[in-house]
Amino acid sequence: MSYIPENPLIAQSDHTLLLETQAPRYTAARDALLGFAELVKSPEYVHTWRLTSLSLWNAAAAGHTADQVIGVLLEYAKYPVPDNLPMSIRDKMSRYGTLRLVRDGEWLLLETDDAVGMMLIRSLKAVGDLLGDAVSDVQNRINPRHRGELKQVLTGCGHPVQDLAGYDDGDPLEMALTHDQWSLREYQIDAIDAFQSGPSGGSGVIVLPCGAGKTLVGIGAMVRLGMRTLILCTGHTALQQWKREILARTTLTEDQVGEYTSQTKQLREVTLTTYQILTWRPDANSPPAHFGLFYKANWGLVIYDEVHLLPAPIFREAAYLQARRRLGLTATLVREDGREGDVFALIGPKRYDMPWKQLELQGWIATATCIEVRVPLSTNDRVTYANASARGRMDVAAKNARKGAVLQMLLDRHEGAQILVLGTTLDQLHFLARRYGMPIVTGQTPMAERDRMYTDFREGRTTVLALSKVGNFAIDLPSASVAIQVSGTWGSRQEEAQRLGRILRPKADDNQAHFYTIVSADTREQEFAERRQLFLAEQGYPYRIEMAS
Amino acid sequence: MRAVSVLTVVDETVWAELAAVVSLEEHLGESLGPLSRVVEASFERSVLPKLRDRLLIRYARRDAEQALAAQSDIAVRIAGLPRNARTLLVTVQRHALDNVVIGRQAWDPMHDANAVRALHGEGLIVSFGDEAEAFTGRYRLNPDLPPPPEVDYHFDEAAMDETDDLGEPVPGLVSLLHDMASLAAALEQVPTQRTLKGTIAKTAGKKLGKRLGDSLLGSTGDFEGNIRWARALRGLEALKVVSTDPIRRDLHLDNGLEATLAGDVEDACDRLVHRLVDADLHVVLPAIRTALAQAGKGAVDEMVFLEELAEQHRDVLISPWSRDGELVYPVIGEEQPRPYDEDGWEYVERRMVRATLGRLKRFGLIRRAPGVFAATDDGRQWATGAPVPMPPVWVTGDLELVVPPGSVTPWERFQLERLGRCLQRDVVDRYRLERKGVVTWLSTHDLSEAIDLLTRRCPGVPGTAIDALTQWARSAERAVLTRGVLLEESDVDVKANSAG
Repeated sequence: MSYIPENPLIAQSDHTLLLETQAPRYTAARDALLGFAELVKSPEYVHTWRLTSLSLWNAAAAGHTADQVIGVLLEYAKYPVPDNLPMSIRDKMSRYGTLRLVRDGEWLLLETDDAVGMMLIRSLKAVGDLLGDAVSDVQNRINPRHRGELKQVLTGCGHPVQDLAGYDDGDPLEMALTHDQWSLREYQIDAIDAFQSGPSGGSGVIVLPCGAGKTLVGIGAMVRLGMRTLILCTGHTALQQWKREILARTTLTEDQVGEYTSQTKQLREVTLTTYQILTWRPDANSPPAHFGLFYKANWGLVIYDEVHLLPAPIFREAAYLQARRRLGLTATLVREDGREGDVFALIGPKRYDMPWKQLELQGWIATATCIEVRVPLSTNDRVTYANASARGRMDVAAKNARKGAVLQMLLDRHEGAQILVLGTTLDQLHFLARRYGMPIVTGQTPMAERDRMYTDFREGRTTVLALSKVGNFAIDLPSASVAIQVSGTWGSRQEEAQRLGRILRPKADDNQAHFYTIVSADTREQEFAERRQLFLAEQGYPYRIEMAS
Repeated sequence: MRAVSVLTVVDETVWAELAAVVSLEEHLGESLGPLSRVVEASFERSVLPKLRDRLLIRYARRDAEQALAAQSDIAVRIAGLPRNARTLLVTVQRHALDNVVIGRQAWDPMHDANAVRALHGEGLIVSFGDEAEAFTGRYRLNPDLPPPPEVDYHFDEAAMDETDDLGEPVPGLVSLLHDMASLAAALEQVPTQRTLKGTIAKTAGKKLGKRLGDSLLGSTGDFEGNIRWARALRGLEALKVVSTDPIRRDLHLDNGLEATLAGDVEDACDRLVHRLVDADLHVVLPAIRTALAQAGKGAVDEMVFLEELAEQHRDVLISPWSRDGELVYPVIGEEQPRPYDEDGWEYVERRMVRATLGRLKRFGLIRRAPGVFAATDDGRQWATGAPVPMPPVWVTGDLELVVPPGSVTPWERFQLERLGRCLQRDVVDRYRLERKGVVTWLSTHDLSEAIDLLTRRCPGVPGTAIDALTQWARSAERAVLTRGVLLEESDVDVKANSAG
């Protein structure tokens, strides 16, 4: 095979796949890749995908074969596929399904068709005491308590386990969607179907962008199963949003939906809690005080919201909950701590994925325009900046007094729109809030006050709201169409995704969202902002740079 | 005229910004306007170390207008030469290597003396050898001379089908050119030192590996054990563009790479061949190149080729001297003249051609069998110069370049590697545009040249990439120290200097 110009795919020997978006066969190739590769980034012209062990095991879990995967590469490749790729794909995919976990009365059995393979597994030090007695050359008894830990350890060693042991049914719960002037979107129904299909269906992760309605997918899955459900959220605000949505979208009533938080300890058919309360411990040496919640009721489903943020102690506990159906929801499988393998082993394989830009094209999320406004420092500030330490320079740049005028200009430009002003430097944020009369929410703002301010904003009583870092996670302000960042942890991709996600809910009129970042020109802040631009470009959002005079 | 260094700032507030870091005034000389000052010699020693991260250091260049004016002036001077001098100039150019020609190889010192004087008088050639070697020694050609016309060869009768016994090709020069370009750019960025044994230090080898996107070299640091890059370094050394400091043993990238790599792939390949082949053989190259081009996808019958070459343009290879009414080969000292006849052809020119074919086989440009030679893929590209369809380079909004094989020339590769950092060298190469690369670029080029390069090869450069480059350049050019600026010295200054 030689050079085929009309083909879009370039397979590199390090398992990276580059996809030319201008090539005639791009769409077909992209659809084919979705099944077995992970989209790493999608800037204009060339999208980067990657074949990883996890993506190939996920593909195998979904029923793809190695020949199909290699066939797709050969069919769409522009240049010869490196020799090592087919071999590596066959090797990796053959591993999924080689080890199976099945039920055997009160016990579980780890089984394989290959006696030598089982000898290898038994010889792994990491497996240690997790294996019970050998039943035969190809079978080992497993204590159900070790079900999660064993899968986690073996996945880490490159031997994924196909979990066919099934689930314990939780207490049944009568509920239905209200379908009152709304319905699940097609991709949300597809995601719920994907979660429940297949021999090991009932556990796994659904990846959808911010603003795509992950909460509704979770609610849909819960209603489809009709069992007692425990929902783990990232924080109090997210918990309240889940509760609001459950009450609005299902036939469940207030007395069926409980909050398990620091203030209230309600245990109801559907119980909502937070990662913080679950991992809270009275002192450093004590175990988490509220892990018992997992066992206080016969849960049929556990939903892990923003699963990429799942704290390590919850992972440990999740290992003991393998007999429960579990659903992870996230906008990205990338974890800053690199524990994607644990999500695969303990929550389950990826069941559904939908890139941001595809949803934007279909009109399900708003089209975002990203603009960076660069503001020069005054001569005095520049001299101060030149003499400051590295940390001091960031401070001078963040607090650039001229940013206020630009903020005013942007507020004028979008007068009437719902605007979020986002920042991490509290002094500056308080100063701007006072100067422009904006309500401000920070970590110090009491919960009740926060909720009131969010409601005022949601219902249009206030049109501008300043948010500190608390605005980075899971706040549902669907009417916000403009975000203005005045300072930030610019290097953080996660922060950038969350902040952008705040304004991506579809808009009634032109479905346009505007994302501004104000940075001090020719400073370290500008350099950090460049990393942020890379993230936006990777996600396929072109950005523009404007210079403030 | 005098050469000075000039400090230029983008606006007047920058003076205060620099002064806040180091006291400037005593190290600055005359003002060339509100934004430019000539710097004193003490500036480099006392101020530069403290301002190094705030100043862009740039080297003055002759601008395109000046170059064009010089070429136009040369054309006028050539047109004014007597006919025999014009003919001799063409011969001289064909025998020159690196713009240097050895007189005895290019002309007859006795019969062509007047023509040589005419060329010398017009400044088209300048002697720089020993006086005792007048007319036979080394002469430098004016760098603005236009290229000589091609020689009209016809080797159609030598063309034949490829034979089965033509050997397998060895790796060709095109990939070597690209590797040399990549390594040269890496050496510019990575301080590289040789050990006392003469090998590349392991730490430097690892850094070079990372810079080159070669994970194996990056992890082992064994440069000499890496066939690919060791070969590229030998190539650069053969071109004399990399030298080693005898005291510190640092490797330096010297000027002159552009003279080989510039232009299309076939141009670069041709220049590299000329540099790798012995100087006295390079006159054979155009004939072989033409024979390969005329053979197309077939082979060349060596015997017929040699006969046709002798018939058509024997004197292109060696210009004969005339002694006592007989044509003879050029003579050194008291050497007995050898008649310029058929036996001479067999003994001298035929051996030259065969030696040259042997070199070309080693460079992977031809395959050989007894009495036959044929072009490899690289050799065909070198010989024909026919435009090869080049796949596009992709520039993405996240500032990555995706460079497929055959999408850039070696010189463009060098430029891209200066502008960005190699992330991966694989089926396609990937680079990331970086601020550091842009600063390096600006020390010798303008930003517009970088943007031209990208837009020439990429069907659509995203605005974000242009914006990023522009902003980096703007921020790097806030304060620029330009070395080697030529200033006109007014009469008053000259008098003042003489009086001083």
